[in-house]
Amino acid sequence: MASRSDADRSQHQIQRHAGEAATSGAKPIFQVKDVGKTYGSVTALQDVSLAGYSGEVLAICGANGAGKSTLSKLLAGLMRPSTGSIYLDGELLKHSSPKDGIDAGVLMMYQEPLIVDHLSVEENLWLFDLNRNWASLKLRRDPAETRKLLDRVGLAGIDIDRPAGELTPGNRHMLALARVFVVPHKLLILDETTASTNEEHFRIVVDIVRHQKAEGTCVIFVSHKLNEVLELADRIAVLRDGRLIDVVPAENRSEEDISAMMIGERLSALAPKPAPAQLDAPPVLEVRNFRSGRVQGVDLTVRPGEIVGLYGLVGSGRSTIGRALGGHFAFATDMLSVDGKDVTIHSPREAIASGVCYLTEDRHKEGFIPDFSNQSNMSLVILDTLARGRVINRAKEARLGEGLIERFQIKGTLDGMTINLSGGNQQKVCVAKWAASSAKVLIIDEPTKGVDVGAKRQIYEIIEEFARQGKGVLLISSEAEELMHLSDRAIVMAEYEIAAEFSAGTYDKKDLISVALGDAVRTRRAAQRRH
Amino acid sequence: MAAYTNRRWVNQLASNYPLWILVGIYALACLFVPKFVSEVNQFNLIRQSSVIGIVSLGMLVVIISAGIDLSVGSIVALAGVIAVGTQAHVPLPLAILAGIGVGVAIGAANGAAIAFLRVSPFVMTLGMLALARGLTYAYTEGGPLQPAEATRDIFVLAGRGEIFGVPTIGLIWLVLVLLIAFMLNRTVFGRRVFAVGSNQSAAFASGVPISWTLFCVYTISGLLCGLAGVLLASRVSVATPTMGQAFELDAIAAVVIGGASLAGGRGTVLGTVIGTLILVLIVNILNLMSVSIFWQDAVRGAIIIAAMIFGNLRGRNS
Repeated sequence: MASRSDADRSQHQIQRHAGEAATSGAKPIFQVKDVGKTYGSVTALQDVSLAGYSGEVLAICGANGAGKSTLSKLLAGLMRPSTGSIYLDGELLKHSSPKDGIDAGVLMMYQEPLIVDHLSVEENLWLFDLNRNWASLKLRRDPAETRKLLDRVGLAGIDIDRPAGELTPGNRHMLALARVFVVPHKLLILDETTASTNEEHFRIVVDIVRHQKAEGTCVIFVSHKLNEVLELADRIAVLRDGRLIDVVPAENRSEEDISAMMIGERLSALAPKPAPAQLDAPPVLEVRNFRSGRVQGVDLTVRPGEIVGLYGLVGSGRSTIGRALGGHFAFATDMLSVDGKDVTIHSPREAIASGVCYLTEDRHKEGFIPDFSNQSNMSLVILDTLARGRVINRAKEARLGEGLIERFQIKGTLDGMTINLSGGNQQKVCVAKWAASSAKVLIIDEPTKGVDVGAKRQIYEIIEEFARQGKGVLLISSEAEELMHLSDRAIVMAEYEIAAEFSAGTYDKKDLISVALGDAVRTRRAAQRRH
Repeated sequence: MAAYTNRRWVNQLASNYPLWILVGIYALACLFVPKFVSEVNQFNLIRQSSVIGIVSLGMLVVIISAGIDLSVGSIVALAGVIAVGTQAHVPLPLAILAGIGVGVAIGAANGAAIAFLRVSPFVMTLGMLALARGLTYAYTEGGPLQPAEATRDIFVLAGRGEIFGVPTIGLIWLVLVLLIAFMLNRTVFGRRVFAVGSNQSAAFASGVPISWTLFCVYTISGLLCGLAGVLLASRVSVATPTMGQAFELDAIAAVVIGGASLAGGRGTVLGTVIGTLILVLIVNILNLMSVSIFWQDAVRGAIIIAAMIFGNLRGRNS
């Protein structure tokens, strides 16, 4: 955090520079003219005109379904616009294949990084070089050069010969990001690159973006994380329902200003939770000496009506605990009790039977059944209780579904398919299916990942509602504000163990982050000093 | 997913293109193919459809669970020869039960390997195709088996008899159609089969017992094949080791023509019945027009390929 003021200063210098360039009529790097895109009968983008200049960071903000990803994909040449045209460096973009985009100088960092799992870290780094030069078919280069590039994205300690599939999700993004040093480009698009990464990775992104600006690249930053947007961006383009609402300078804007533009109404800032009343009810979840993989010897208690936040960097072991207790990983404990009863958990089925529910962080992979209607998805967990003699009571099922849709304000019908809903509403369906169960403990992993601001608030209310019903909630989150807003108690993990525990009202965001970074930061600083 | 309300059921029927293809072929055959409308031929149609129709019902359940069962034809044959071959030694009901029991046992073996040992369905049932067919040849020593003289007349009743002027075998098929439709659409088990086939990880995370569900799916397919084998032997009143050959092809085709997805999670009983009838109808017409049996195979293959391509195009549009 010490480098924060440095970052701000240099950002302002470049901002001034960019402002001059824009006003002095400099040639734009990219120009989007009256672009629209429709998928079948759905309009994703409408009459969008936008330009980006050399050496500036243009953030694109919008709720889910506002058209951010569509715009990025059009710019990268992945899709053809239905109307209008796109110019790169004055030339019309052809859009016949992604290669056109790369040739025209667009480098896109996808939400899901383009990493070939079976190739080594080194081979993945040089992969895009093939496009440029057939003579460079060899993917192995001078290891010293490879290491130097990886060092710049914080992957200094990585074995470059290991398959890239072994990297953590955050490090995969960083590896993909290292390609900015390999692939020549004029326009860099970062599409939710920081969605599954942590504070430490974000610092690296900030460094790289600053370096890119200095080299004259135009950077497009697409993100749900408004604090990151405000820190990085020179200008912010806000999309709502496929239309460009406004493009504003980032200076002197607050997160509330931007989110108000995104959703068309103003939301109050997230306040940290006040200190909770002392709880002396017996714990609803008690775990002693939890051991699984590299996590060894963790104790946890959650009391009824309490929300316990679990904070830590990606790879700190916090998700291991959540997934294991939900029945997805094998683990051992000296004691595991739910509501005073000793239980054993080997599968999600056993976890559910014991009263422990795990809301997955990976909604698309294991959150809901794609071929199911909202009704079938919401009733799946408690199907047994809706049946009599193994036959589903459909009237009962429909009543349950109607109740859940109303209670959680899900914008969808009972018969509609969950897969056709927006991300936020899909997430509400996933939460609703656990709400219907008689769970005593809810483990919630990244509940608002890829969810827009409006839906976020509703999900927070749902989580608080769980607690009011006397359930114990274990909330795993990378977003410090979210965690502070919801948690009665925050547990911070670093290096596979509990590094600190704070009661609500006795800590701030800085405490969380510095504990979570822990030794990682100190070693990195020591390494930098040696250079 | 399954039809939930009557209104949806009607909509589904209206947009059900295989149904209109079936109606179209039937109407053309009535007009242009001699002897097609005769009572004998209509009864033949029902009898021919029933056996493959029952096998297709089992295949439908398997395909919805995102699996495949290539061993159906071999199970039909083994069940048939056991039911006929044991008649000389044990009472008829026991012989029939033995035939069906063999089907259940092989289905359960498939299910156990696929669900608990995580063998891929394709490999397991391909192996079982050869294994069960081999057992059939070994049991019959390569030749056809005749039902025992004493029980023959009773044994063939199921395949050749009539109840209220309708072929018994057709009524058995109808009952099974209703049972499987009820199971898939109204029971907890049916819902779980769809869930497992659509997204196994999500089903697992929601507490669906994956292994048990898959085990039951293949056992049900085995049971239906066992039943189909006994009925086939009863209909033709002889059991040959080659019977049921290429049934896996017809059954998979019937299910896919009926709109199910080989990727799992989608499929309807009504569609499968229509798919079965389309296939049988075409073979029947070719027979009446005295087309050579070798050409018939080629035509059947072409229809299956066309159905798959059409299904893919339809999937891409939606």
